[in-house]
Amino acid sequence: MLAPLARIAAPSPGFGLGLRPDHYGDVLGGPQPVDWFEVISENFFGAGGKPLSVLERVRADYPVALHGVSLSIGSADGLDPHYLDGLAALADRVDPLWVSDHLCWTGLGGINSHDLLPLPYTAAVLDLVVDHIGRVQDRLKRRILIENPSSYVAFAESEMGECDFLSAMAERADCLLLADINNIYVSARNHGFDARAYMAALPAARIQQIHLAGHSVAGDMLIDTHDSPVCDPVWDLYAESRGLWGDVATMIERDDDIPPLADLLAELDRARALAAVHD
Amino acid sequence: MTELATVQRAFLGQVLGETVARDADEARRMAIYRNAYCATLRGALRKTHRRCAAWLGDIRFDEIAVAYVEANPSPFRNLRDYGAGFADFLAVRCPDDLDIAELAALDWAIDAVFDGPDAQALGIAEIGALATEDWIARQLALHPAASLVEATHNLAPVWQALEREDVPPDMAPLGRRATLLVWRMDGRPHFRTLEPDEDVALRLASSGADFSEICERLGEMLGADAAAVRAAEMLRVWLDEGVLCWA
Repeated sequence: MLAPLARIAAPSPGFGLGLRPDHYGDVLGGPQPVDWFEVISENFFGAGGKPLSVLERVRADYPVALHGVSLSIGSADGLDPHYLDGLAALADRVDPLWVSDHLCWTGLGGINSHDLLPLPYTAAVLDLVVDHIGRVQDRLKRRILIENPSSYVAFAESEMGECDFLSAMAERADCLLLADINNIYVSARNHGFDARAYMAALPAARIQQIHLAGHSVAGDMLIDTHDSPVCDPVWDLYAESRGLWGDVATMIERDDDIPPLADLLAELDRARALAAVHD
Repeated sequence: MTELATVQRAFLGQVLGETVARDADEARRMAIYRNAYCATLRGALRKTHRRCAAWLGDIRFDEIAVAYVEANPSPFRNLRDYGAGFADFLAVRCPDDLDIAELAALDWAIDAVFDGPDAQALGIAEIGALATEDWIARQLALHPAASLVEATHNLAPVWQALEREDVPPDMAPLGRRATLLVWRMDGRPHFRTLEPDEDVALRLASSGADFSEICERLGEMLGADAAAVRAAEMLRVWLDEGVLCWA
């Protein structure tokens, strides 16, 4: 367990959920046993009407974290200033717990894949990503969180492992990390690395948030679909994370085949129970 | 081009289906990204055009959605915006069934109005706060969350039935080119078909005309006395519905 003074990440606000439109009614209808919500940043860029109204009402009652999917921190094209303007405006409006996105790129040459595409882990790419994170943090005037991706390919060009890349990136950019344990599990299976060793090597002091999610199986590959409950091996890794990383804000992330809110609250209770046992 | 740009260009080429993998293992792994890309964009089209999809049926909608995805890489950061050109694509692809494109345009407009930009709509209070000679000379605009959709078919009952997941009525031609006003009121989308004179008046308002110019144009169409009554009627409805802003 980390000593509190060693921690760079802020103290945990507890156990959260990704806020999805299917659950707006439940969340606005009365208090829920959720300590904070995470929203997808891009869904509220320049928007009005009901979505923004819902966000403001939820924000009045709960802390909210902003989670982006289009920052494209590793794009060879550089950062999109219009995107950054939108993100900064939303952050000013919401006053979020924190702002996060992924170690990935999403497009090139004006074409967006709407996916979180993997990067070659080279020294040159590390320089680029560190520079981009610095620019984002300067613009937002806060440390951001970068999430480890799930991936299905590795590049022959890579000069280091993902974990080493993330550690060096976090240290040099002075940013924080969002550790998605399902992504670690998925990538470990797809690439044949040891998930526990990866977790042990991450810089625990910089881990601000944990994602827990489900995946699907396609032959010998795992696909990060976020359309099913958290699986038992990921729960086991989560339990181990408490010993490795301490008390880190934990969230259930579900993006497809959205179940009733009660199902996700039950998963969140399981996270709470595991955390209580392993703290 | 940097080394990273070269790598990313090659990767994106495979995601878009422009190039193929070098070996079987790469093909197997890259197929995951390729399939996710296609499924994500098709899913976005279906979500923003779900009544059109119900009208066409899954097989035909998916066939057209696949063709749209192949022809239209996304320039958008927000997936929500991807279907902006789908109705126009349908009009070209199905020129003998323009009801399909019109229904898609209505679908898109209704979803767009749902989370369109907020702005202070003109109401009785805003008009009443100004002297008459001032407000009738002030440029108008359509509320930024509202839009006008052209139709030559009776879209409204068909769309409403599809939205309720009921069996829709036949799609009948209107025999004229009509305009539907789509707007947001009390946080919910609404739409209605405009009468020809209101169509002219609202298009003038949306292009920055002031109320006196609208009255003048209505006068040319209806005569001065009828125009005055009609303009007053329209203005009251627009203020109640919140479809106008100051330009």
